Amino acid sequence: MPYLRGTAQDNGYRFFAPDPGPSHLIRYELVTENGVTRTGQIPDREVHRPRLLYHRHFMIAEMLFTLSAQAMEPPEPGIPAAALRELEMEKEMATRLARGVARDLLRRNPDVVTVRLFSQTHLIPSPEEMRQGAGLRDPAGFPPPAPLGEFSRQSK
Amino acid sequence: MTKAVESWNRFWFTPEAPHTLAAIRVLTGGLLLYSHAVWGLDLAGFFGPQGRIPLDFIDLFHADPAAWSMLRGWESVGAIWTFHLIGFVLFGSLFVGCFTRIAAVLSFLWEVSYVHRGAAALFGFDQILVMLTMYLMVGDSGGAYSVDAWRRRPERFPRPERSTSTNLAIRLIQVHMCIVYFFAATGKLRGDSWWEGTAVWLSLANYEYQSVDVTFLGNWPLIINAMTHVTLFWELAYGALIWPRWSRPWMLALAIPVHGGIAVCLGMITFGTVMLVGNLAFVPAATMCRWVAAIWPGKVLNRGDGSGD
Repeated sequence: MPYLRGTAQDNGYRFFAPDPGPSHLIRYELVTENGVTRTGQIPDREVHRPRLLYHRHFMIAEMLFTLSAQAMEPPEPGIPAAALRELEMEKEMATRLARGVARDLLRRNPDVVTVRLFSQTHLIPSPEEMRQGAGLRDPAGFPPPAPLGEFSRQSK
Repeated sequence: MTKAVESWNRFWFTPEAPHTLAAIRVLTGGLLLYSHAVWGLDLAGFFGPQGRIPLDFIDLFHADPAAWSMLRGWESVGAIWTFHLIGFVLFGSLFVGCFTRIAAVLSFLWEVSYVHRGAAALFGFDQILVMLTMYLMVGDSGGAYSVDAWRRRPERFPRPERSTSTNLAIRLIQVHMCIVYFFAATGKLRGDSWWEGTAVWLSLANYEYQSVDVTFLGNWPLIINAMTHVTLFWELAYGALIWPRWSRPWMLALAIPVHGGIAVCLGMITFGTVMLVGNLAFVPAATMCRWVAAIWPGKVLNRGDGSGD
C-alpha cells in the first residue's frame, strides 16, 4: 500500500520470528597486488564500534545471506513465471549488494586488487552441547561458507 | 449506539496535557541524534558512490516509487554530508523542542529518507523509531520540556495546555504499539522454538547478538522455557491487558525485563530503549509530571502537574 510504504510503516514487526535462527556473517579475502591474502569478516565486534555500528554491518550480512540463499537454490521444475522472475530479481539484488560490499572493501584497501566474499553461517549450540563442553565459537559451529562472488578492482 | 459514539470520542478526542508526548519527543529526538551520529561514523561507507549499500541495489530493492528518499540519486559525498548535517540540526531541534512543529515534520521526512536509503542495514530499532517520529508530528510535543515552552515568557509562563491533538498522538502511539506486539507475537507463533520454549536460548546463545553471556541459564531448561513462554504470552496479551487499569502497571512492568534483557544481553540497546519509549505512551501525563519532577526538581521544567487544571 503506497501510503504505508511512503511513511515507512510497511513493516511486519517479526522480531525473532518465526524462530531466532543462526546468524550469518560475511567472510572476505583481500588479495593484494603481491599475491598476499588478508582475511576478515563483517560484522567484526573488534572493528565495528559502537554497538549500533556493529549492528548495521550485521544486518547487511544478514540481508546478503537472505537474498543469496534463495537465489542459490535451483528453481523447482514447473515454477510459475512470476515466481521465477522474483527469484531472478533476488539474485540480482544479492549480486548488487555483494558488489557494494566488495567496492567498499576495495576503497578501504588501496593495495588490494581482488575481493572474494563468502556467506558464513554460525550455528547455535544446544544447552546439552554446551554442558558437554562446546563453546559458542567452536569451529564445529561454522559450516563451509558459501561463495558470494569475486570482485576485482578493474571490474568494480 | 450513543454510548459507543461517546466512548469513541472520549478515547480519541479528550484534550490531554503534553507531558507524556513531550517526554517521548525528548527520548525519540535523542535516539534520532544517536542513530544519525552512528551513520555519520561511516557515511561514505554506507551511502557513498563506493558504499556498501549501492544505489543500484536500492533501485531494485525499493523499485516502488512510494519508497522515496531524498538521498536517492545523490552520489556526491559532499551533498550527502550536507544532507546529513541538516539532519543533525532538525533532530537536535526536535530533541530540545525548538520550533517543534516544524522540526517534527522535517525530522520525519529526514528519517524516512534514511530508512528507505539504508534498506539493507535496518532492524526493529528503525521501524519503531520512524513510527514514533511520525506521530510526533500530530500532537503538541513541544508543549512541555522544551525550548518552545521556555520561550513563552517564563514570568507569564502558562501551564502546559491540554489539547485534542496531543491526546490523538498518544492514542495513535498506543494503538500502534498494540499492533506491533500483535504481529510480533503472531509471527512467533509460526515458529516451533516459541511453542517448544527454546526460543530464548536460541537468542541468548547466538554469539553475534550476545553482549552479556548468560548461557549458564541453559543449565536450567525450565527457566529458559518460562522466559520464552512469558515473553510470548506478554506480547500476545498486550493488546488486551494494556488497557485495563488493574493490568496496565503489570504489563508495563514486564516491558522492562523483556526489552531491558534484549538491550543488555543481546546488544541491542537502541532497540530495547526505543521499545520502552513506545511503552511510555501508556503513562498518564500526571504520572510523567511526577517522574520528571522527581528526577529534575525545579519550577521551569515542571510547570503544570499534568492535570491541565
